[in-house]
Amino acid sequence: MATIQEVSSAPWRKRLVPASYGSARFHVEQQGRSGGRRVVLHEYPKRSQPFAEDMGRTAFRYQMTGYIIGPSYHEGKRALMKVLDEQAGATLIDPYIGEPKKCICERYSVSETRERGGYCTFEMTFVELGSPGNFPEQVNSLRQLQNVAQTAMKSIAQTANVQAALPPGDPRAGQ
Amino acid sequence: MNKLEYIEALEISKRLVTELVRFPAKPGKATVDLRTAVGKFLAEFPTMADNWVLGTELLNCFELARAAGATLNSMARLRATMFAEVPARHMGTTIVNAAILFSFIEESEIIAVQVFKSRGEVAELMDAMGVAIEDIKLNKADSFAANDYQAFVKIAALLIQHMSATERQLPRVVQYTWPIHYPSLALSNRIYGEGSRSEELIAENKVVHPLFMQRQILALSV
Repeated sequence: MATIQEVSSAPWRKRLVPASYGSARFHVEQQGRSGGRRVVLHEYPKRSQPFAEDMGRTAFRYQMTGYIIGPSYHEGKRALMKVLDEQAGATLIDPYIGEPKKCICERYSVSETRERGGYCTFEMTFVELGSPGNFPEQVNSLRQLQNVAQTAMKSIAQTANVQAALPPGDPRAGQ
Repeated sequence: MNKLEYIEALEISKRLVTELVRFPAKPGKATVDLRTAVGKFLAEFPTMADNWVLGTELLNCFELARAAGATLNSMARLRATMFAEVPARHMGTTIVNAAILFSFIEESEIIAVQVFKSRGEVAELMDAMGVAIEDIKLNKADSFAANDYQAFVKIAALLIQHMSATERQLPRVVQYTWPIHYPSLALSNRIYGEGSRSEELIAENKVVHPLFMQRQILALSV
């Protein structure tokens, strides 16, 4: 049987990729993504001009309605619920953009109905995982000092070897 | 190598190794190895330069000295001896320069593994090393090879950085004044809220009897 992409080869359709979160795949009924800037609006008394102060980018958020269908949809449902509960987050692939993004699931709900057997719907909200802030890089100064000291001593010994062996003024002595 | 050059370099080397082994060495293999290496250095001195191993053998002596328990003082004394040398010839200058750099780097290595108790201890040592660094820069920088000078500057910077990082994590030594003479156990409880640190107070203040501590004592802030 031909796929929809073969039947109607619109460019946008060709670019669609299967949606997944971590190792669990699912189909997407509808989705939305929100972003923007964090703004603090300053409105001063007796002044008509406000000032919108930019405080950085807002974290991306995805609202997705996904579904899993088929005779063994239970397995897919369990796999997706397991990965949605992961503490460390996982990689979310948005079928429309196709670009993997490390996200964590804030909230999800699964619903199944009597009329639609072999089918379950997931309402999911994801937020961008990002990286921990306010942790300055710690340099191991002891290890760094010991490594550089060992290298430097070898290099100085080498210079002394050369300088002692060569007559004064020889350009190879590197003075 | 001509004869005059050889005699000058050998004399400098003898004074160098005399200082290098002047420290209370730990009995054991490291000390034996150091003595052997120093003896070999002096005995094989004429052939070492021709075989391009003079610097390597000298470095080996310094490394063994550190392993045998050379102290910061012994390395500083050695450096001062080398500073006092005024070599007239090429070989002598090479040995003096290498010895000054090796002693400084060995000091850095000793400091790197040293355990400090208080900020004051580190700050004192940092001042002393700062003077040594300035001394080397002002008096010897011109006679060093470019690579050696760059290595020295890098080590000096890393040493100060390491000491500053170490200092930040340590408590201060503060002075406490008490109205009467307390026993060390009572002071330990009053200052730290536990009696187990009374020995530390006794050691820090060098008291005659732990029942009667001085009214003014020095103690770590935490």
